[in-house]
Amino acid sequence: MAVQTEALMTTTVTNRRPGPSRLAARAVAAAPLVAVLFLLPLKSDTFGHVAAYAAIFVMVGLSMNVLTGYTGQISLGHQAFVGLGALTAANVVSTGVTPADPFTFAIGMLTAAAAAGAAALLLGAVALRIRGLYLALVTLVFGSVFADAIFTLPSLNGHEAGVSAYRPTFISSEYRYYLFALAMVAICYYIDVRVRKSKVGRGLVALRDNELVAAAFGVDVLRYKLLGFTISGAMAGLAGGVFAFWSQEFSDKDFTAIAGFNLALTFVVVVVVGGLANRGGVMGAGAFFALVSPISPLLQWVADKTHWGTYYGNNKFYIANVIGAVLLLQTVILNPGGLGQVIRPFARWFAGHPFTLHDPDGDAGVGAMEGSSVRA
Amino acid sequence: MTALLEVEDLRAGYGSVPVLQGVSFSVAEGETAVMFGLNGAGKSTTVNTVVGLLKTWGGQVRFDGEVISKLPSSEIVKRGVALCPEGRRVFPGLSVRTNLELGAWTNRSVQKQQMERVFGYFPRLEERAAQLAGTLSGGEQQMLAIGRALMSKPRLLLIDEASLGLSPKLTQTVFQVVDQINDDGTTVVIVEQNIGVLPYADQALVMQKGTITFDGRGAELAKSGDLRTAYLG
Repeated sequence: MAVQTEALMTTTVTNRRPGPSRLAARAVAAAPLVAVLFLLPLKSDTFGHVAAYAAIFVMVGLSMNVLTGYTGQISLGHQAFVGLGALTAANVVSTGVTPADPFTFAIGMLTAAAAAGAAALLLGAVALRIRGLYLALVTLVFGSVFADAIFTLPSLNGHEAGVSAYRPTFISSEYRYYLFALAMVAICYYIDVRVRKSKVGRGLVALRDNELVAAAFGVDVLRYKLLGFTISGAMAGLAGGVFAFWSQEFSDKDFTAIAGFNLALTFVVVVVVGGLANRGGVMGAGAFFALVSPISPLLQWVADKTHWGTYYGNNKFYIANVIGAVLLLQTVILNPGGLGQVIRPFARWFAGHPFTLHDPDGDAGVGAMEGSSVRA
Repeated sequence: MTALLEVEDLRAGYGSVPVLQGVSFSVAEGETAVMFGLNGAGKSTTVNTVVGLLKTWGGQVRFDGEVISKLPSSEIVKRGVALCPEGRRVFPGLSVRTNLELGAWTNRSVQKQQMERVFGYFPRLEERAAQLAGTLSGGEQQMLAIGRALMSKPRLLLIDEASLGLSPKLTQTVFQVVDQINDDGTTVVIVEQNIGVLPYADQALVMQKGTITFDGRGAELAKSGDLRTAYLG
């Protein structure tokens, strides 16, 4: 309590631009972050590979943030959009056994986003007329049916052998591909910021908070929901495109059956644990869930150090889910603002404001206000 | 004086349950009309149908001579009708300023001018402009809800339950501001349970079981027994 009161007083004292010494303090604090972001993935191919995987999860997290955080809609079938993006990119670029040429690669990424956006628009046109639990069910069914029906078409999945997707030479190393993935994260981040700051964002948040009242002020509720759904789908599709060239092939098995459902649930957990409508938190949670996934050696390394190595090795496909479940419960019961609420004071400090545990400028996520406003 | 809002034999309801069973009244431009009635009489249904949030089953709503009862609410808002909904439904996760900006959704050009006007009526809102609406007190939220409805510079302002949950003192303040808004040229329809609003009313309406049972001047209603009937059955 004392800390809070003190913090309140500091806010009233100053809100000036940081001077050189303040900038230096921030630079020192940012150094380890930059090191982790740019130097650690350089250390080995495995690190680069996992870091790029984390970047893909961050992109999907931002996509879910637009849909669930801002628009207040839920999707339990988001893996279908990611998968559709991967399928489209791999088939459009269609590398065979040679590296993709950069131009076709760029076209592949664009069509990945466009295809998933179009699919989201179509699904939305049907599904967004319903709400809550029913919407969740429809997206769930869409995710599995769409994935099972389209992704398993032999002509699209390389006759079950997978469609190869070799990277263009200039980003063929794991580290360079990671840098490319970071650039794609930057694009998704930019879209997220633009959506939130624009009139579109205000409309989305208004209908999320109260559809009826938003309609009373002239917000075309269905059109805006569709817009949110389509933007989110396109972002997920782009992430899928990056995923295809990350794993260097499209395989339907990554997105169908249990694997697909697992992904869909993880995406929902990312956005809730990260903090609904909180960009930074969702990005952090996305990276975290990529790092504890079986693909990452992080937990194996920790387990080896603590003599749990064999146990972890035998059970690694369940452990990530258990972590997700525990964090989800912790978030819903104890910390509805999610990770975003926890890191918010630091994020504000980095943005040049004085350090304070009190959040003076509001507009936090729904979570921070009153739990979730997602009706399910 | 010409009628700005004309409601004729309006019928509407929820699902298959009819609520409005032929509601007819008109409100002259520049006046304040107050609609009294018991819970469930159909007052909120009437205003919600007028702004197009509920579908019209039958009858007509005309605004400034034009039939608006078939239009979507976004079009109705554009023509100059605004609703301050029941239960001060502000957007809790947005700041006061953003809430107000949302009120000018269909009419951005007047946003700045109207925001100054709203801050003039409710200086408290200006002090709290950056604060999350969900953290305001009940009275402040009601001020915000009314202010937000004014942002589109409406010719007709519909207020559903201005006094709900407010202290008698704050209720009077809100009524006075609404009176001021009316004096500044906006036609106002208030749905109310609180008869303290009667002195500010030019026109009074009483609703019972989905129809208008009294339509006259405010002063007449105070004298007649209809108000007693409306509240005590």
